[in-house]
Amino acid sequence: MWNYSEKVKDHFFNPRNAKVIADANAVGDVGSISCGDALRLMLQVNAESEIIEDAGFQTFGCGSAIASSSALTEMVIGKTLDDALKISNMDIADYLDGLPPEKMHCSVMGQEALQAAIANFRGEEWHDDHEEGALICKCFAVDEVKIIKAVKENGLTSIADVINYTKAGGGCGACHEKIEQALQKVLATQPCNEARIATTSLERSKVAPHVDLSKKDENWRTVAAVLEEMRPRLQADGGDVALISVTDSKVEVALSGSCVGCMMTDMTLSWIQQTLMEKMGRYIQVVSVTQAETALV
Amino acid sequence: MKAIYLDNNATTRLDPMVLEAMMPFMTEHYGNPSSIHGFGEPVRKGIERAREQVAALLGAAHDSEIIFTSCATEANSTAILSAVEALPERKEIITSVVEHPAILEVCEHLERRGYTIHRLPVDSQGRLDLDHYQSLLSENVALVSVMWANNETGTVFPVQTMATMAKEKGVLFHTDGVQAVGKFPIHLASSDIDMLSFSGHKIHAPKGVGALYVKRGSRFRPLLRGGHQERGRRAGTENAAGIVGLGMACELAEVHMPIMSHLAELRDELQAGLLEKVPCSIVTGDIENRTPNTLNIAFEYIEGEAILLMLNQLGIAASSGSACTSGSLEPSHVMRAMSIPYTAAHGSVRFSLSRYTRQKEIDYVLEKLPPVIERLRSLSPYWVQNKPDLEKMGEFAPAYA
Amino acid sequence: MIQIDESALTQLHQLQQQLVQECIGLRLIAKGDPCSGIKVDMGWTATQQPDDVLFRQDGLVFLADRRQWPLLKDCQISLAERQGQPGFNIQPQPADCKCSSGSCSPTQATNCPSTASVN
Repeated sequence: MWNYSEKVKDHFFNPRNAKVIADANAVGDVGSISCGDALRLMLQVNAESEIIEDAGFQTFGCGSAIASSSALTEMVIGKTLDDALKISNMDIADYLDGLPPEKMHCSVMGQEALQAAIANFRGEEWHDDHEEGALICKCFAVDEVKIIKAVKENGLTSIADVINYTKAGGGCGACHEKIEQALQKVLATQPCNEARIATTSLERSKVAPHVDLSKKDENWRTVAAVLEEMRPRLQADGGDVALISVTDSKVEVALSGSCVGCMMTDMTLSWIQQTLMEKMGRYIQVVSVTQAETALV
Repeated sequence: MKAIYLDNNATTRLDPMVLEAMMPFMTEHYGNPSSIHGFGEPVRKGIERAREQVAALLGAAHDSEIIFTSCATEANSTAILSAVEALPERKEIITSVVEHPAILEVCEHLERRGYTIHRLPVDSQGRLDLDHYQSLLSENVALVSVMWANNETGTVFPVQTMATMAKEKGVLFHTDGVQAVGKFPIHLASSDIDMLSFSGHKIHAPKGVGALYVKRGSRFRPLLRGGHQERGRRAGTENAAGIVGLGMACELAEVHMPIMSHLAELRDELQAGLLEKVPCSIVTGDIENRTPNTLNIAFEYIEGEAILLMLNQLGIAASSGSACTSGSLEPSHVMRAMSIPYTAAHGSVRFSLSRYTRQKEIDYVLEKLPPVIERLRSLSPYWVQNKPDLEKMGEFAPAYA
Repeated sequence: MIQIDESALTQLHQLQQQLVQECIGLRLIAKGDPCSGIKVDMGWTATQQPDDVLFRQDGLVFLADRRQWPLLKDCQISLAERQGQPGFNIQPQPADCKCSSGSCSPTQATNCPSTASVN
């Protein structure tokens, strides 16, 4: 069972303000039954002084959720709306003498309900940005959807990137394998496009020219097709290959990502060449050109 | 009333006779069974006796078909990886969506290595479609791995029929028998099941020991390589005390098998009582076809972990398929596979009895649980004055089983 | 130097005698990329390519792309069985790489069927 502090247990077994406030003028609803966590926070706000005179809650959720809701009501009664808005989820967790990392999202729900209630009072819009999907990082409560979003939007390619952008993986490290898998999911499906190719900031500025295949001859198309088949393997490891030019006797490619630093690049080029030769039934040479050279093409 | 333990599908208490059988192997019989000298002999004998006892419970044709492991998870990994290594040209595996993670994770791992995994879905009562299963069987399939009984709902699958169907296509059949062994009589010698895993700590043996049954003649590749223990099929110095305990537990399970029908009665009493006293409660799984000791009941509009915490306070131990207990934000994969509506999935509680469960314990639960549910519902935004607040849930329309 | 087991060598010589077509030698091709793993294929070949390296040893001729030769020149060839069919196991030497991905996958031994057909 989770390591619950005495305070959490107290607020769970003896919740404060677990009641409906019939004429509440500030109501915040967050979460949903599908998430397994839902909180309805009701506040009685004095319209002139903006002081919260009474608070009540109804919660569908686990021990931490109920405890967080109870704690929240105790914390806000007597505060002005502006002061209440300063309450963060960390404050709620601290008030309860700490929550297990996997339960931190319950305190986040409390903070969100407060914001929603106050927005409701003030007639403002409030958007419920609730978590969804498989939880990957338990230390920082980051789910798969959030990681994939960050990877796609920012062209991330390594665990270090993911840690920097989302914090996921920066704690105990147990989720690193799952982060790798999420990365692979994205990298394997993305077509060769400008944001994807380079990883180091130096290479980020140089990209392969976009090619309209219909204008290219049979040779080019054959070569391009063979390369497309091989790219997923390279991409799965953080590398990539882009077709730069094709003549009857020579194919120029540009390797990028982790393939660039690899001392075995020649091996890979040779593999590409021999595969091409097999498909085309004749000798053709495959060489690599650096990204810098391609910019001059 | 001392603590009431109703979480036997998670683990069981040690039978005192099992402990007694183990003690000599933790005190004076400490030799290595592989040693030639006299210290090894009594240990070797103890292990072989245990092998006979396990083979007897499983109805295996030969004692040598039993391989001792550290747990069922190891037995599961061994079985799956052995099948794919022994049949390398076959790149497909058939399993089900409700398997234990010990099976699902290995399959997922193989999927990333290029294998095709067919996951048989289940209907709203957790049953498989055998026609669909038949259509997937082919000479490209290396292995079928389907559990005999589900740990969350107790649903029993027709694995003997499925094994015969697999045999016709030369496909190996493995079953995770962790929740089945000891709950009803089985006879592997007369079945087409090639491999079966089970663990000790579900049948009143200690934790840290399990076994894998491999039918004689099946191709087998070991997982743990090293010394020649277990006839070269599972390296590592044997957990002698654990194995002896497992053997004794199997013998006792055989002896106590008739008690299972009484257990089913207690379970049914608990089920009827709860359904009567608590409105909006649903039993999940295949009620006609489940292990005699398991009851999975979902209480709508409240959440599982909160229920367990309150039960724990009252001295009752059970478990749940809710999100909070599964460690993710989704309810357990078994609940999801049966398309249990979210109103209920998060509020599911599993009671699993054992031969140590008494009538008065069931009576106590029937007395204490309904008020707990009532209390939690009073805190829930989805429950208003003794009935669900359908308007609050918006377009969500709960479906009853 | 390529290390060939006695039994593998005997088998290769036998196959060489069974060849019906004109043949130059055995071509070794390293397939795959260092990150996910390299597998080595071997087959009889009738053509020599401009980028090839030719290497004579133990009465056999081996050919490989010069860019792959550093990896292949010290490989080990032994006999193996695959699905009941005789074949060869080619184990290249471990790769030594220091790229940003952090590590190269260990090279895998391959089973090549033992045939006397020529590519």
